[in-house]
Amino acid sequence: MAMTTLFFDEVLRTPAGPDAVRNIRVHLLERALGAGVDESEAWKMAAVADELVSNMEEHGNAKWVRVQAELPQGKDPLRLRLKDNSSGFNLVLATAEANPPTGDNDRGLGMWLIRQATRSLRQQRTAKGETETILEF
Amino acid sequence: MPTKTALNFTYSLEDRPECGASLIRLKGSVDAFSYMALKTVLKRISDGELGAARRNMLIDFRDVQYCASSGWSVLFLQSALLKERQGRMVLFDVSERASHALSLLVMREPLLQVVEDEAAALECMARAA
Repeated sequence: MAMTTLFFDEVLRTPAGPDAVRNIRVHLLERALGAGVDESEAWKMAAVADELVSNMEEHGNAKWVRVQAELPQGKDPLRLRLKDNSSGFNLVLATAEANPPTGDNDRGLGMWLIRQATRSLRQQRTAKGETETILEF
Repeated sequence: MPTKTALNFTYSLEDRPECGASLIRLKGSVDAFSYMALKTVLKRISDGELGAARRNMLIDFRDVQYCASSGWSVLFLQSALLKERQGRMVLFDVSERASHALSLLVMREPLLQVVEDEAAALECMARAA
């Protein structure tokens, strides 16, 4: 089994507010670069995490979210993993249905950004009833 | 709206009548907590509530640390509104850190014009005037 480096692991209690959400993005970027992640990939991951955590703040009913980032050795892709106790938002469907910006609507662009930034995205319910979202870059 | 709001950005406004533009210098981050404030500011500027009403907007992005998709949405929308009024929006000095999200948005057609610096932005407006 391939070795994986867990370089980011933080839990955010919601509602967390702007500073805490911004800190997730900034710290994730810093630690990704520190772990040797390519700059472009690190930015993608930080931007996607920002969109997801901001969405949870704005629309979600989770009381907490755990954000983890893993860098596998070898050729496996960079991975972002979010686990929360929400009732579950279907991110897979929302990103699949997302459209590019047209200038006549100012909502939903985050889903398009996530779709463009990620190589794969999957969601599952854990045995504890939590929602786990795994994104690869 | 997020449960807590905070303005993560500030702005200054200059009038550039020679090219029919309002010049807005943004500083900070435009994210899910502050994009509505940006939307309001741009609308008020566009409507002439904060100075002379101009049909064009120049936006200085030099000091923008981060712009989330919600922030880019506001800019796309405002740019489209200006276009309806025969105006335009030009961004300049977009730093690498701010342009990462923009590069991910992969538009079918460019919704706003991005140029290198202020001189290029002013020249661009003067040419169109």
